[in-house]
Amino acid sequence: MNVVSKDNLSKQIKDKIFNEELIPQADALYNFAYSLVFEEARAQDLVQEAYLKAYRFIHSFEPGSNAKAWLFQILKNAFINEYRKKSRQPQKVDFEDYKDKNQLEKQASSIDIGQDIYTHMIGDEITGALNSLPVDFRVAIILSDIEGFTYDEVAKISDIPIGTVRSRLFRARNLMKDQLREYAKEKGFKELR
Amino acid sequence: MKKSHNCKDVVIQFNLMLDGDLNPKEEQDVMCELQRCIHCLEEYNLEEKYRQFLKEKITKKGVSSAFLNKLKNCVQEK
Repeated sequence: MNVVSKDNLSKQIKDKIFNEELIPQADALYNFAYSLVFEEARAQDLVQEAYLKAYRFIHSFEPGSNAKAWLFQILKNAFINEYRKKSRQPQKVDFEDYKDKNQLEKQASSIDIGQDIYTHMIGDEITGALNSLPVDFRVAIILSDIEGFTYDEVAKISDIPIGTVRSRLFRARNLMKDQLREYAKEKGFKELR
Repeated sequence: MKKSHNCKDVVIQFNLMLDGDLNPKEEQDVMCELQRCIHCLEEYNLEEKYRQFLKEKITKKGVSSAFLNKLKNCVQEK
């Protein structure tokens, strides 16, 4: 019987997994990296670091499973490490967790943007609004609303509980809508309600 | 007896539904609530539009083939 330990995958198998499952995620991974650092060169460095790490630990990846979520998690960790090195301080996530339902309700009632506002906005304005959010909120929106990860996947990538994903997303979306409303006002739109 | 309609609860619920976090029965309940309240239905349509709009309009960049080749070469060297 030919049993190959996952730790001893042949180079051929590693390369096959790398090229067929990991490389196709490069665009999405780069966009994620860019949204974290806003610099092309740094984003490329992060992507490269993530891919090198992924290749090194490719034995822990189950072929056919969610390569994109795995790579995003590696890249997010690389970003945090880079941040720690630069600031020489542990990364702090100071954003309040909106676990209290009453607070969620208060947020819910503030949503109020007319549909025409969206129609007339261009990509740069939307991207600008997204980029102006604090990093944790930005990441929540990118992972969930743009990349389409589930709550469970966002929780794993961000290393936070699912309840925090829900509350952070709720708050992030409202902040995003506030930003869009500000852009709209600058362009001369009026609140419809 | 049918429970009373609470717009704030419905907003929270339809957001969870759009995120794929509700089971089919819960989704059905949310849809029923949306049919009961024009304000909630408007909010729901707006939220759907917002999410679609975000996906479509956000600026996305891609990696160049030169960068991809560099990446593959880096891995081969390791």
